[in-house]
Amino acid sequence: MKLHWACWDSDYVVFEEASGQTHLLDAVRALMLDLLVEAPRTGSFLTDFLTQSLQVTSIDAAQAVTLALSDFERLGLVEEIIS
Amino acid sequence: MTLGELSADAVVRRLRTDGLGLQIGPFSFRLISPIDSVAEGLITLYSDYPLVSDDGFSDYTVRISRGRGWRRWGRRQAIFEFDGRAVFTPLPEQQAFTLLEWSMNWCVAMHAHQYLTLHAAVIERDGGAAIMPAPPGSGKSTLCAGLVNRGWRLLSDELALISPVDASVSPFGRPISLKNQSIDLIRAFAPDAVFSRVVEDTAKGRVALLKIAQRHLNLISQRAQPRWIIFPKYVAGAEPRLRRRSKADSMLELGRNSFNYMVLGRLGFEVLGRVVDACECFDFEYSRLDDAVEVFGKLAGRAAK
Repeated sequence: MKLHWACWDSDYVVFEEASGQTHLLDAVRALMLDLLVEAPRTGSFLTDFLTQSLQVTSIDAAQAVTLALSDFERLGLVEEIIS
Repeated sequence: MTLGELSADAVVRRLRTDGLGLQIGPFSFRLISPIDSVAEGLITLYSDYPLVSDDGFSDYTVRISRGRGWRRWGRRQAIFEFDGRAVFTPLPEQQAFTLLEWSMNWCVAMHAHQYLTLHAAVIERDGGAAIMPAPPGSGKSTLCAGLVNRGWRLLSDELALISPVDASVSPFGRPISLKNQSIDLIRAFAPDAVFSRVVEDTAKGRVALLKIAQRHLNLISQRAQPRWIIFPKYVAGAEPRLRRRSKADSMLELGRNSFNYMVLGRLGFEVLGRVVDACECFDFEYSRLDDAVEVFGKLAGRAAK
């Protein structure tokens, strides 16, 4: 997947080349998407990453990750890998 | 040579035969129509535009034909044909000139992919362009008509043509389409302004077109750099309110207002990003044109300092 980014303040706009779709993301979701483009990640990896980077509780981080992954999947930005 | 230098008979004759060639900003049009109101509208509103030679190349050939069969005599219709194909639903013949205007917009919006094209008015002052995207009913055209009669230069009332090379906006200045109460409002605001005949009962209500003053056309080849993106909204009785809007959200909204953002793909994203980067972005609510003139004047004055 090829993504192109624009950023102002803490807002990110991402353009996905294959679909031609453009999305507005906050900084946390932009970070998550960037990690997912780099390599497949588990939900618990993302949760741990956010917990450590943002110094939030693991419950809040897990909730943010679940919502973001669900939205990313709906927008066609990620897909679940069943191992 | 301009259209105004032709006699009315010559305009009618050209429209009925090989077509009338007009240069409008970066585009040339060949206009063909047997309908008298098309000739009348062109003579009233396009007299200062240059003609293109009869045998020269035209970017777009626009034909406004009469309906066929009994439609030639009863409940007459006007039909827009592009490359021999009817594009829109036919309209009553008294709407032929407004159909021509909408058809010219359609030609550019659907085909001019050398630009990133936005559905927006664009006006300029001191080299800086204000891009005003807005849905129908937001008061965009009224605001645009008011401001170009108070020191701002018109680049376009309908289409922002943005260069992918340097993100500048090319003028495509044509008559401003005003609807319903806006017609009388602008007549009172700019008493010297020239209007087309008012057409009743169109899909948009009463419509009249405002002629663009010669001083705007003299600069029609002069591009401008985007400096502001302003989303206007007419709210009855509202005090003027200019509020900063997030650049990221403005970019998404501009993308939605574009005719060819998806066609241009990554290039469209990059150009739009450059435009937003260079601009201050605002939402603007207003109810009185004088207030809008003052707010926009302050904005331009601040940028000039």
